[in-house]
Amino acid sequence: MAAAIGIVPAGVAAAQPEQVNEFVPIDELPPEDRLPAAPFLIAAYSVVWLLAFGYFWGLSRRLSSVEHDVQDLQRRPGGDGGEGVA
Amino acid sequence: MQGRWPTVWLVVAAVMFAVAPLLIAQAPNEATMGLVAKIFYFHVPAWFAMFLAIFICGIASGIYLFREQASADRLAVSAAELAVLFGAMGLITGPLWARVSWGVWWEWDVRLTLALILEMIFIAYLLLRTYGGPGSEKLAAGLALFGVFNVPFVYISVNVWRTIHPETSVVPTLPPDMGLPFWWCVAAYLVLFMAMLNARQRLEDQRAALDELRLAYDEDA
Repeated sequence: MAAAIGIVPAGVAAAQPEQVNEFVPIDELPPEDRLPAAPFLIAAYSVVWLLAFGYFWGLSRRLSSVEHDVQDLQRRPGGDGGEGVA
Repeated sequence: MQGRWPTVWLVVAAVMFAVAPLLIAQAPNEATMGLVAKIFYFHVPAWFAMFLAIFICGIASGIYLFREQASADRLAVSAAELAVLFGAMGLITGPLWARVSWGVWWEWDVRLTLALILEMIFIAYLLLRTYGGPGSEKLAAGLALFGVFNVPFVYISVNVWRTIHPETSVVPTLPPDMGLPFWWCVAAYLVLFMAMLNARQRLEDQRAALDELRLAYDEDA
């Protein structure tokens, strides 16, 4: 219950890393730090691509549907017969 | 010509996103967090894009509330949808970084909690616009203004309250070999944002045209 509402025991809180106030470059990194991080890095980059593509795909579908409805109404008797909103 | 702009923006954004990993790969690893800190290059720009979307939504909502311009309302709802999208990018990439750097997926500290609340405000905005019925536009505009006023709190939270999230001083103090890929990614996100906003606004314009046509058709019938 305590964990569910975010209350962290003092021992766990003390084990948290310190807050960072600047990034410092490093040339050499221990090998154990390299491999586990790569899948997370790739996953994060992939998420951005997937969300962007997914959004554009959904948006193009919605746009096609609305443009089709606009053209459909314009073709009916009483429609203005124009090309819709540019 | 206006219809071509989303495509132009989109192609430029795609090229910039394709080049970004090459620049990021050449940047040095961060000393304490190592390789995983490179998530920073597409985590932070996502928040920049979200904040820009929120400011546009807030200003357009203010114009709609006080001047009742329908075009401002269409811009506001377009920007609100993008605020949720880019917020989702930030909220997904952040835990991937945190899992390696902090050992946990999520921490209920002030920055993360406020960022989540900000995302929920704009999800609420979209739900209100979708299911709120007639008159929900003005209620949603008020909600958008409330969301805008939350942005400064999200931004300064890491400097005011004790948190394990990096401070805002990180970006201004980036060394050049980290700064180049970072600002490249910021530019890529902003170009992507412009492409999406342009296309999303076109959808709203077409919906408005459709409503006008239906109204005219019903009156003639």
